[in-house]
Amino acid sequence: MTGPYMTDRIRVALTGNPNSGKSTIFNHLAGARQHVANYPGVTVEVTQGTATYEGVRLDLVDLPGTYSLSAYSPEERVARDYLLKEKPDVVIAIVDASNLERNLYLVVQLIELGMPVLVALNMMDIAERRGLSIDHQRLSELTGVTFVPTVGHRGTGIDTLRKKILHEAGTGRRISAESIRYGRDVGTEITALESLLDEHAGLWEEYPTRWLALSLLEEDSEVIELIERKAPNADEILSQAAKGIERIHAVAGSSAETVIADRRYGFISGACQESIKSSVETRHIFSDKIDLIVTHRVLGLPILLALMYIVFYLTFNIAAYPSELIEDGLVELSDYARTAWQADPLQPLNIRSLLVDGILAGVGGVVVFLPPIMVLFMAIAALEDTGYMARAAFVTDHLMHKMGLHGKSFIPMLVGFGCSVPAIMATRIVENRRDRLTTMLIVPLMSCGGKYPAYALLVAAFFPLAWRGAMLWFIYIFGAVLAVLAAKLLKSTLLRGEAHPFVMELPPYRMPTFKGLLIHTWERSWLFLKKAGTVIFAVSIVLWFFTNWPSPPREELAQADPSEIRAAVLEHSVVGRVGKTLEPALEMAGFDWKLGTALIGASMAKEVFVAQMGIIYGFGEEGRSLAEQIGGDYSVLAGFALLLFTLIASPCIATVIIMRRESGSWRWAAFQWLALTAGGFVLAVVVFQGGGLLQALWTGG
Amino acid sequence: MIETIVIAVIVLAAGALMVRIMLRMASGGGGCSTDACSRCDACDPQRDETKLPPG
Repeated sequence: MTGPYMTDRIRVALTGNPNSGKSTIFNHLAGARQHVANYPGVTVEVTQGTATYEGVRLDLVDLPGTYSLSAYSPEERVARDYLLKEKPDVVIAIVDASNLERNLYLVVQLIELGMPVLVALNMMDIAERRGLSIDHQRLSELTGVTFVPTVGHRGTGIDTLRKKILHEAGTGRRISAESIRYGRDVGTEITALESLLDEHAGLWEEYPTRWLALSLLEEDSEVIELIERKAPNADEILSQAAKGIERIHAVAGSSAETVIADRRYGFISGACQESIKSSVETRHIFSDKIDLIVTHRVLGLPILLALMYIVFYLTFNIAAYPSELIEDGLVELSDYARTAWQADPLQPLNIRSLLVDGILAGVGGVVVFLPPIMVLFMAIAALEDTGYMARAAFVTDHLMHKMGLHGKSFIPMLVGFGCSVPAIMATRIVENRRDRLTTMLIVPLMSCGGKYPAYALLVAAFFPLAWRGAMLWFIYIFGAVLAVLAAKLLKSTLLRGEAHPFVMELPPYRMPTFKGLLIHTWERSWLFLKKAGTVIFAVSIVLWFFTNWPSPPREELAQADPSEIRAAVLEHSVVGRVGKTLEPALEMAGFDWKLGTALIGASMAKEVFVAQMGIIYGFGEEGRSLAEQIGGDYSVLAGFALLLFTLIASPCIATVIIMRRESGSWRWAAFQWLALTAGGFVLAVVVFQGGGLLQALWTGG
Repeated sequence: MIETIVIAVIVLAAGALMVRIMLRMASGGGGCSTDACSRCDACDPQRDETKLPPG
């Protein structure tokens, strides 16, 4: 032990691209004490040297210059073998600051290799002459790797570099390779391979399994050979890798190796965009030109809003016809069943009613929205597969950061557009307790997939076709804006704290493949159908029962007009009685007891709102669609208030349970439920009453 | 009478199914359906951060 440091000897490896000034830095660090050796088995030279700094001996190795660690060339192989086998205490990556994006590729690979990396941001003088202003502290914050600015030929920054070597070796810090993300398709294959590799984890102690999985997908011949040699389940691993490579190619339209490289450059590009001023290097000229416009500080957001508007417009206009076809088919089926299967009208609890008024009306009411959901998912898949979604994330992340939100909060919020349950789980990536709680609390304000059928039904019920896309667009954006405002409020009151930055990747644009779009659309549509066939199916049966039980006495029904029997049964049932009890309060927002019962149902799962409305109104009764029947019963103002209430109020039961589990307390789960439900109700009342007042003033004037 | 028993059995079975699915959904089985889920490793079984950090 020497001085304040934990060791008296530190092994340091220097790596970097050719012409990055690596040897100059090495000469500064090692001085005269150096010698050249050939790496065993190859004719590649490795220079070694020693130096002493603050009483600690530095054993320095200057590895051959390489652009990557892919084992294509002897130099790459030597550098990689040395790092993996010798496990140096610190790896200094020398990067050319004037050509940063290309040089950082090697740094990303070093992180993935689990190396304790320290970056010398060399040739800063040239970068400055080229008009580049690099914020090295920002780069360090974003990537987690320490960046030290140096000018090799002048010896600038060398002393800081020495200090940092000692510091890094003392901490033994490794940067998490998880910070580089490969998208859903590659991510799934990495996880599958990792779990196979982990079956014999003891064999891979010197190799990170994530790196092995990535290398297999990149068809790295050395790693394939290693697996064949060492893994008892080699056949299974290699077959899984081959299938993964094939699947990625089918979905992305490019080789897995290219897709992986693109994602690495995406990570680098995102970090550079945030830390380099004046100009960003041109790796993909085409991508950069588009990015100049779509990630522009002023134009970026309006472009995103316009694209979203187009998506929602298409959703309604393309899907209207197939949706009508499904609804017409279900109405025909209901009518046929009612005619062909006679049932006692004075006995509401009968099997025909269970099948037609319960299952068919409940599940059918939700399935009608499959076409718009497919169109919406296909449009989202197209935006994701082209790479635009990453830009949308980049543009909005800037805004949210200004509002005090943690950069990583953006990920759970995006997941929230799919489902709040995984979104709340996704807040685990936010390390800070207050930021994590803030994010958990606002996630249900993002419009999840379950809310879509309810929105679609209400929008179709109360607004003309030309307005429907705009209304959906409004409600999605309103939810997101509300979430950010709520976060701001929480961060400045209950959960004060500072915001932290995060790299938003900018992978290059690519043309999506038709097969890839179909696969992604089908995956998500299948989730929707599965939910309709399981939970909505079960809930529809239960709700049907409570909508018909207890039934009024037979004699009472016999005296009623046949057209009023259904209403009499409904009002006498559990659902009717609960609704009637709540009605005085609901009336303030323009709702009645029927909507009240559907909103209670929606607390189980948001789609249940539609199922329950289908059960109450019946499919195609009175020759009108469900939306037409609802539109005829309530005012447009009440419909709009209902739309807002559906967006904000009562997170579903699964969300409440996951909130309790992830926050560790029922207190936070109850706070979230009550705050959102009360907030949604107050807004609905304000809109309904305020709108009514304005209407009265307008017509009065 | 038989019809009432059949309905009672179906409703009870549906109720049990509903509770089971709800609990499964609440354990994270709701399924991510956006590309953003790939940016998060919260589902990673090796990740041991299910609880909020103290503070």
